[in-house]
Amino acid sequence: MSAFKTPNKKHSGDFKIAKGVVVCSEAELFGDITIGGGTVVHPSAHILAQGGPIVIGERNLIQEQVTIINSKREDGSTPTMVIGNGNIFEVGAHCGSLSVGDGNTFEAKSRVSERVKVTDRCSVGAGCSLDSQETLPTGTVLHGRECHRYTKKIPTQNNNQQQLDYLIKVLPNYHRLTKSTAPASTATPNT
Amino acid sequence: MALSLHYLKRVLYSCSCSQPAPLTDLYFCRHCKVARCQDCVSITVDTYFCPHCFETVPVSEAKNRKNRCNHCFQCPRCSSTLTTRSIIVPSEVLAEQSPKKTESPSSKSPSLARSPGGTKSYYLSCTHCKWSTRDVGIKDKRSPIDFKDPLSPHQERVSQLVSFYKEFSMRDQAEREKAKKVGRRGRSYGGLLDTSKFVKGASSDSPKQLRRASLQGTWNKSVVNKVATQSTDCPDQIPDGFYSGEPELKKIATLQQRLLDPAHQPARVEQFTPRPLHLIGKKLLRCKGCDHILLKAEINPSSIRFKIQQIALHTFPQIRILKPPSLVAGAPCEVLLSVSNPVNHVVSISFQQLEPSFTKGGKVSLAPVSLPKGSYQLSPNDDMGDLLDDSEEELEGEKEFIHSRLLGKLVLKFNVAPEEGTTGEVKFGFVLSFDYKSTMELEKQESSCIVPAPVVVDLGKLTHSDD
Repeated sequence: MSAFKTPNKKHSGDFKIAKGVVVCSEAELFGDITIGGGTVVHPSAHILAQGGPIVIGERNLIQEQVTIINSKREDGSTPTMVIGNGNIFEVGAHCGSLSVGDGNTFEAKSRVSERVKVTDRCSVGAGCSLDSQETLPTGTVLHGRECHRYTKKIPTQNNNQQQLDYLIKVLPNYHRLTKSTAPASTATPNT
Repeated sequence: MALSLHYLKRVLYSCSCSQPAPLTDLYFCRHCKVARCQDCVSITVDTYFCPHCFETVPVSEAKNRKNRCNHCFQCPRCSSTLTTRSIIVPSEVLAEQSPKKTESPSSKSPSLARSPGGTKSYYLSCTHCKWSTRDVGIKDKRSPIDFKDPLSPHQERVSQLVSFYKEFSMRDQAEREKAKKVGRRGRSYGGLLDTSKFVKGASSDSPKQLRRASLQGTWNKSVVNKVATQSTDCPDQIPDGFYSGEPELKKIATLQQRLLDPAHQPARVEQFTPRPLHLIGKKLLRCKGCDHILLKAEINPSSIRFKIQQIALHTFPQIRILKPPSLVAGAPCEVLLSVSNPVNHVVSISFQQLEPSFTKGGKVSLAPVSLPKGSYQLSPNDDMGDLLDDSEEELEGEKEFIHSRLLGKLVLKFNVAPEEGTTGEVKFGFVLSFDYKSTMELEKQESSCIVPAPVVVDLGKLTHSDD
């Protein structure tokens, strides 16, 4: 984790943060980051746009110790990492995937590498690790020590709106927030 | 505690069946006044309870419930416990559904009318693997206790067989009694003890054959045919492409998932049904010698206390090796053992040599040892002891063998002489005798008796000297 840390400042780069977004200043942000409305970023989360910009959509919940990283590439290309709406990144999740759809859940300590493409309403179980070149079809569920997987016919919908509303209300009372550094233009998430 | 765990296998006490066991595995029967190991106790189930909802189920009822809880369910996919989720169905949706239902006379419609805001409906879902009863098309229920284990497809056949064999055994018994009566008159068909069936060329009408003949005579063949297994000419057809088609691994149940439900054994994931949760039993241990209870847990499932707990750790002085001794073959080596008192009164102990029969005719080689002579008194193990004054009363014991004396503890010197040519672990044994004061309520006056406990101490390998 320490390898990702910027030497002095916790924040460096351009952030386009929409109104109504709670990004705690203890979270580590680096590079060109756009965050859409209603998203909550907890303290000690890491969003690192090292190898290209990161675009995060609306109503996402990014909990403590989560790492969302667009890592540096050897060939010098700078692809954009796009994360859709209504995703949950639970404590300690690691996401390197360049394309994440809507309504996915990354459970605690799960790990998804940059070669994986996550579509919609998938669930990566606690501690599961994915490192193969693949696309997770809609409604894929991974669970267990051996990463058993199956596809749900009727994918479950993340219902975290209540929690998000509560966090947006409460977190600013106890934490300093990071403001948008880019010119005042409402960040529009790429969905 | 870590220390005692480490020494668990070093100091072995002997059970009354002369099986060596660590002190933590032994029970002490205060009626027989001997140690009992795991093999010397009879284990029965006291009560059953559900590990999820903590409902207590009596032993007699648990059998009827197939040892499973009625309300809690297990995930058929990952076997973790399912949680009940409720959703509120808006009344408009119900209104849409109700015209369909009017065709079939349903008694539920009046209950729906009573709740104008919408009704709650329930489904089960797994928080671990996200499986839910909706995945397999099980409809949401009006009440969380409406989920039931589907009946086994073999239920009818099994009950048919059970009733047949019940009748069979009754007839069998009747025949046996009849045969007994015949035997009294003249011939003897003494039942199982009759050895004539093993003798070559014995009379052909042995009791077994006689019984069978009589059964065939009295039983109508059609009764037997009713339950007999029928052979079929055409076995179940294997679906096309079973061997040639590409298997859909995501849709085939694993062996573990299949065996979770032995009655149905779902082959595919669409056939999964929530499994009722297994009940867990609380053990009741009895002494095999006198049938008195040694261990009985409290009935309340959320409590981890015991009503009766007679473990050896509460009675026997505990022996530990104080520090690893240096062992040289052929020379007497000093070994320090600490003896701690588990009870809060003075206990006197003494040491005797093991009987030769204990070594099982020389199979277990024990090093010769000189034991501390005389008897010693252990100070009471009182939690408040260190707050008391130091007005120590003189406790019995030969000073020559005492290394140090602590609260409720005594460190003694033993002299072990490992024999030349010992390759394995150096072991030595002795009998630790302590006076056991019985504090049973029935016996009003305190009675005391001396309990011998054979102990074998494993000191480890010989210390290699450099020269």
